[in-house]
Amino acid sequence: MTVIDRIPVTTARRTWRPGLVLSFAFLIVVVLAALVPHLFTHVDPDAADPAATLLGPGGGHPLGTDQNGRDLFARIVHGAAPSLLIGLGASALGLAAGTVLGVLAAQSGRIGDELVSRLLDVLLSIPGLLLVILVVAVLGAGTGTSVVGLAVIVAPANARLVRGEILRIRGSAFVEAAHALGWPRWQVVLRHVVPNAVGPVLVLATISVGGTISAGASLSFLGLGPQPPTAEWGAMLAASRDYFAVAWWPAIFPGLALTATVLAITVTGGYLQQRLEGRAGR
Amino acid sequence: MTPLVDVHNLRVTFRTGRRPVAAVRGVSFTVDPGQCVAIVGESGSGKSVTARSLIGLAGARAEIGADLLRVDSTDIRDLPERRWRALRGRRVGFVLQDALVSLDPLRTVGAEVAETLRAHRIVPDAEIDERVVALLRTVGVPEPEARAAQYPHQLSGGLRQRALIASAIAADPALLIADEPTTALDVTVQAQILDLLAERKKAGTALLLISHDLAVVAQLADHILVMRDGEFVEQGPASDVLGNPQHAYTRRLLAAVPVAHARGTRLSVAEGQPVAQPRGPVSDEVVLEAKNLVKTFTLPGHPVLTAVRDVSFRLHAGETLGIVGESGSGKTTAGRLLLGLARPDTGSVEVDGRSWQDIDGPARRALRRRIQVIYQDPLSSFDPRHPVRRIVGEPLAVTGVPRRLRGERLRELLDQVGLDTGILDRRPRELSGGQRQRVAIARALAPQPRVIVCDEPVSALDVSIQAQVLDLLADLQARLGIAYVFISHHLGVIYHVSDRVLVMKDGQIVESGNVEEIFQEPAHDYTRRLLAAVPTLDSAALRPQETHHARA
Amino acid sequence: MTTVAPVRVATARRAGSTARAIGRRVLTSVLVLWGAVTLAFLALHLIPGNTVDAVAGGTTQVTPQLRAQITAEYSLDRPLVVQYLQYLGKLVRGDLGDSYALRMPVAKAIGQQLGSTMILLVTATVFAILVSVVIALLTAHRRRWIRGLFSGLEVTGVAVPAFWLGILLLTVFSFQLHWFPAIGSAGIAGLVLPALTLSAAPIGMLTQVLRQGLERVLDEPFVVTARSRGISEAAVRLRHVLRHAVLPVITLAGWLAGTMIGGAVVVEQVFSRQGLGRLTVNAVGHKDMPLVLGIVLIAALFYVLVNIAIDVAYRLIDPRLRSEDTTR
Repeated sequence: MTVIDRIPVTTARRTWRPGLVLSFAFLIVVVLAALVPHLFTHVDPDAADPAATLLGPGGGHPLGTDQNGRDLFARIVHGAAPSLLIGLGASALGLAAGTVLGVLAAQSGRIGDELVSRLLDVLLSIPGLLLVILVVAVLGAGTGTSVVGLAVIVAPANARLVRGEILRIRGSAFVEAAHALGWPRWQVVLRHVVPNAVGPVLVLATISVGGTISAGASLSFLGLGPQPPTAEWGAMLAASRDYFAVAWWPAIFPGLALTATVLAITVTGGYLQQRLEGRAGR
Repeated sequence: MTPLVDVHNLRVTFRTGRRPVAAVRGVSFTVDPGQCVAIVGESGSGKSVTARSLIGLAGARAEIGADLLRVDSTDIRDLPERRWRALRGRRVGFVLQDALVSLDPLRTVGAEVAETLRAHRIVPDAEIDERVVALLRTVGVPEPEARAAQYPHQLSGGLRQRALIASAIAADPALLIADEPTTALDVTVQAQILDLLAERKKAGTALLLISHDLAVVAQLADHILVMRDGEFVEQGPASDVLGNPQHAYTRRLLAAVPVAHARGTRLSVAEGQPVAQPRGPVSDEVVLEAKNLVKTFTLPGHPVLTAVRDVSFRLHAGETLGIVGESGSGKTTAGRLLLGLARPDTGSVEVDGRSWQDIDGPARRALRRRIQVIYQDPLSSFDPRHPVRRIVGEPLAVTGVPRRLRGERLRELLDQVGLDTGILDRRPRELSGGQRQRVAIARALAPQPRVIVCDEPVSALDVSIQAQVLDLLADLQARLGIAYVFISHHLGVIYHVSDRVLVMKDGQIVESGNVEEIFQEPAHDYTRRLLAAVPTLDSAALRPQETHHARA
Repeated sequence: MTTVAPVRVATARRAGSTARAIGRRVLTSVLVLWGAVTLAFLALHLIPGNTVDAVAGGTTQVTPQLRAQITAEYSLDRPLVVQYLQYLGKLVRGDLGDSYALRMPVAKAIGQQLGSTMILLVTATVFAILVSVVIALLTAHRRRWIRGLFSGLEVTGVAVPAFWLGILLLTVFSFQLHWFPAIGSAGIAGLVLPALTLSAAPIGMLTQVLRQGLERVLDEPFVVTARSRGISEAAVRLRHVLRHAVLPVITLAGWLAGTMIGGAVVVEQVFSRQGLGRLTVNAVGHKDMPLVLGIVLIAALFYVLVNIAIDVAYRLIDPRLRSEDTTR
């Protein structure tokens, strides 16, 4: 009836997307670096060489050395593991906690819903980074604290999404149709509600990995993350601040690795989201 | 007389994907001053694109070509934007369907009407308010001063549509293009809007009416263009096209409209004489009984809403009971009560002699297999992730059909609803509207129910698809002895399918009985008003014939 | 339909309903703040380590006398409930307690640093909004490569961690080109790079949301209707489209406030600027709990106020939220 009707709906768009392919390839490299750093370098990331501090890129050190004469490339490769660990750990923990809270809110009647929702309001009312700082203040700085603190930021958003998805799906016509077919309640939940809610929740979790890696690095930068001498991108950048004026490479390369990783996760997550929406028709 | 609109060989192509799509492939027509021309077609026929091309609003991706394209003596091919603006609103008014989305929801109705006046400096700024009120009064909006200050969502559907028309005629255009102007409206309101358009025509405005509904068009059109796949398959004076259609497609469209004389015959017939619809016997066995159903809703800050009050009826095996009413009459709530998906405040529903109220757990779920449902919008009633195989297979799993027998039964069900097994692995989004409704019917049939509640099952479908679905439902009833509760706002459809009918208004049954008796001699005033408002195909025959204006 | 009088009554009732809704909103906000206070207070007192040592700070040898004095001064010998109630009581009077490390009232410490941070926040916010509105208006419904280029930039802007962007800008513009000072918060020149750094992610996000909103609204039937009246394209975009497209952006304002505050902490650190951010980092370093708590509460208050403002703005723009009685 409208103009739109005439426009063919292309269900399967198989266009060549260089950005996506590149992102995916880069993520594989980063994950490999985190799992088996020796694939990329045999140099010890913590081996200081007072005779070779702040050497420029080239020669024996492809990306140069830092203020202690440690090989920057080796440190960046070895820095993938703590960065990914914080990002993935915090997202996973946040996802688990958020799911529990969201399911609780959606399934436990009006009072339970009110309680959980207000708790989420409280958590959301404190700006994310300050919330982590509060956690760090309580638990002390460290990798574990970073994971817990960042999970506290991620969890409320996950919980809201889970709650919203459950309510939306539970109110949808196809769930009513499933009830009308005579399924017991738990079967409807298992067959229709859960599978439909999983997609958007996982997409959000994927995208949040990028955010948590970035926030984790910010925390290290502030000196509130993993403690030295751990090779971690944020901490490396923090250390580089004092030598800006004389050496740019310790400030640039870890940041590039960090940004590229976050970007690659965002692009991949965006693609997953598009696919999901295309399939569900929302 | 120079025609107001003169179109020769209009072509519109959309370039979106890799392949260009030809939406309009060379159509020619004219509209004379004061004349009403209607373009009738099903969705995707290109009728809306044709209309929008005349005011340059077919969209940025539309490529328009024509041998001649003239509106109000202006050649509108490659017209610069500034000159389009002088034409739009001033010489050509445009009315879309459903004013809830066609009027800006963030602006008052008065501001929307005033926009046309300001754009063309029709009256001095100081007189705009006054003129807005006058215009609203002209289109029959009561208390126009108060309404002008209100927002679209605060007005009823009918008033909104009137306000939309007021904004379109504010600059007194010579031509009014109305694209499905009554589609979202209740039948009594539709009649009022059609009267209003007829008034404009009498006042000398030419009308280009776009509609999927032949009966609506029959009320107004002097000249009808039947459109399919971007071409006119037939055109001529309204009485000729409706009374003596030449093209097979027009005949099929006409035959598909459920009208009084088509009752008892099949609607989806390709050619030739009416074919009688086979019928099974209606037994005395009661399969569904509603006893004094009452259902109220309380919303905070609102008075208690009684959606259903004291509704009782019986349905026999193999029978069709129509429930007809306008929006808000409580017919859908009644359907949910029958299905046991909502609990009545008082009263009871018995399916096959067992009441929803008395049972719980497994017994209740077992009873659900006896009564199934078909929705207006099948798409939303399917899990979007599931292919047809799982959608239709799901009730088989519920009823415990052994896995090895399911494939066989699945094919049987698809066969019953006239679907090919090739669609088994498609997802709902990849199906056409008609296919979706057939899948929904197959799913409803799977548990072998005694009753199916059909809630507006054909309202979202084109008339030819609607005809096929209605015939399918009738065939299934004849073959399987299923009883239907058929809920619809469409009196023609209700008359066609029902044995008995309940007329609902404000949650109450105002009249019930044999459908032929009620439609021929309605006892209740409301039923009479409903029936009087129904547009019929015959009305065109009552108007004097006009001379042939369209180009060959 | 009804007569004129009931329409007026309905209007009056709607105004009442708006006031009520906002009242309700304020009430829940107070509850949320109370929750934040309680949560922070609990976190603070579950802390491992001795408060007395934290208060004593650098003093290596804490004499019993000093210990007793501190314990009495901060009521540390009272039950937790009493301490909680005392804290609440002080809060109501606007007293955030005393900083352990700075030896001054928390409110005063915050007050000293608030100005510098607010200047940064306001500058970055205004800049972010201006830039994203302009980019969105210019790129909505444009050629594919233009949109592709800008959305690539936007995604990157969101992904780049603020502190690294700051380092990057410093390296290029301060150390290589010497255009802007590298440290300090004095003057306009010192504000440019921090504000730029802080607004990058918000610009990326706001532009994307705004452009999506614009493009969605441009396809709405009421826009077609507006065009069919013969008004100009500028009038269509400004009178009809922009207001609709702004709605989802307003929703983002809460997110924006949170991001900006968190970002300010980091950016102040990068550029060695005075402000709440450095105060916070130092407070955590010194385990200065009253100060941390005070800053968190101020941020929560700010955030809650922003959210109330969002609610009011929504109701001002969208009449559908003002009325509860619709005919549909």
